Amino acid sequence: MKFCAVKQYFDDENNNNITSGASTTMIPLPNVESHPLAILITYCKKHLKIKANNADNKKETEKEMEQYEQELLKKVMPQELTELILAANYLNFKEALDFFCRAVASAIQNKSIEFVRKFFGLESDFELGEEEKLREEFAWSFEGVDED
Amino acid sequence: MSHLPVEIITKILFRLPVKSLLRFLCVSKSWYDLTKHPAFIKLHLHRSIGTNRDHTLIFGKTYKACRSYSAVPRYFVSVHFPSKNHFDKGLKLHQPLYCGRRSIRILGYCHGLVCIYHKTQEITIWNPLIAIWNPLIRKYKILLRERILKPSDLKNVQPLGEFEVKVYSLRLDSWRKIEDQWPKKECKISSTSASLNGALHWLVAEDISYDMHRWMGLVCLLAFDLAIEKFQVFKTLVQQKIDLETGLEVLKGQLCFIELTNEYNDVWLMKESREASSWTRIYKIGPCLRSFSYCKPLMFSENEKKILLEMCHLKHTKLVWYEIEKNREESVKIQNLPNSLWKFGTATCVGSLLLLDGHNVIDPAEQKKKKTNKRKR
Repeated sequence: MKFCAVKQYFDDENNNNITSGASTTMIPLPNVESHPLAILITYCKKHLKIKANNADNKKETEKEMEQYEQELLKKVMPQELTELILAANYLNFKEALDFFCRAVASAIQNKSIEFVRKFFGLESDFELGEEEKLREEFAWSFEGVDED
Repeated sequence: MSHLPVEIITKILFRLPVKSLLRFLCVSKSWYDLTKHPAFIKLHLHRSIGTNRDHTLIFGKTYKACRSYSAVPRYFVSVHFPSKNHFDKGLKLHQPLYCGRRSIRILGYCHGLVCIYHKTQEITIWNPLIAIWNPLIRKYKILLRERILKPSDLKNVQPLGEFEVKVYSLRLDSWRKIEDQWPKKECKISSTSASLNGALHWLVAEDISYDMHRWMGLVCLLAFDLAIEKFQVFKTLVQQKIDLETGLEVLKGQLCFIELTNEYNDVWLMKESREASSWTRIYKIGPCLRSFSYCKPLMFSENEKKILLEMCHLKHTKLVWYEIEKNREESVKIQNLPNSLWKFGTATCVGSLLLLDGHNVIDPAEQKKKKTNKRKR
């Protein structure tokens, strides 16, 4: 089940026996912006559609999903990925969360420390000299890194 | 921008290869603490094993070419293969136990770690040095540095064939003698160990005799379960006495049994290593591959029609793809891997952060280069 957080809301509703029609119920999602939500809904619909089209063929489903995911990544800015991850995490949407984490891992794999810090909004909090010591210890891991 | 919680950072970081993770130790203190945490290292390793991430072959020269007094090289060569049909060019890796002309042997490998052994033999003393090494993160730890007196020099000698078994714990950094006894006291071990699913395996033999210039015996499989620290013996499919030249390897996540005679290598995969009936012969290489002694299978190709073999000749080793059905071999050429005119041993590694707190492997040549660069500035 995708969007487990939303499902939880429906389950709770049934338990409380609210009679208003499900199609008009408003579900508050205060932690999700509209843009990432729209992308997640599209992703979800596409996933279900591909799965339905290739009911018995798991490999075909995977292949088509991969192609769709590649296309989607071209339209999404790298900075938006963290918003999408937070949204997928809040909504408890496992497949999308895995996909976007994979995408971020790919994006940062060969990048410099400075790029990664900027990407995640982090700053160095090491004591004086600690960072330099680490850089020297693993100097060889800094070779072949993409230019910023 | 909102900060990502640590569970999500974990979900991202555990997908990265070791080189990236080592570099990212410098990003922040929380990333450093997360990466070094044993739970993360375990999670990362499991993913590496499952996806063959950072899959690398390590080649180590183990034998001086005859009549050549060139010293054993200080470097092993590591070859990363992102997919089974493609080998990256070889990279030189300084070996941690480098010591002049003494050769190094690869004793075994598991979970990205390689166990290497270096023996200096003086007249009355054996001085073995054993270390575990994680070549992908360039860290190592010396396990054993003992001076053992040769039996002829001792008055009270332990009868040959008695084994004392000790287990080394990486976490506790100590050796411990185990309670369970090595089950067969009169047996001869006919292979090095193979590590699979938390257990070590050996081929042992009993009822041994020397017939027609060959050691023959009844071969069984000995397993040592590391979790419960117990030995167990299992029957093999071969119920008669055979030549004790046998090999035990791990292939495709299963134990692989190799019967070696002067004429052929007969190779079986054990689906259920403890069930003799689950054995399947995968191939039998005959004399058409010319004189060789042992062909160690390293891995299947993508379509499983070919096997990568380390073919050991008396004086040199070569790497070939062997096509099973067509009984054909094809030499493998890897950039920067020296030619086949020496004997090498191989180890297979996956990406692992084990031994992150070990000693750095220092390459004196790299140190010199760094000092020169510093002086230039």
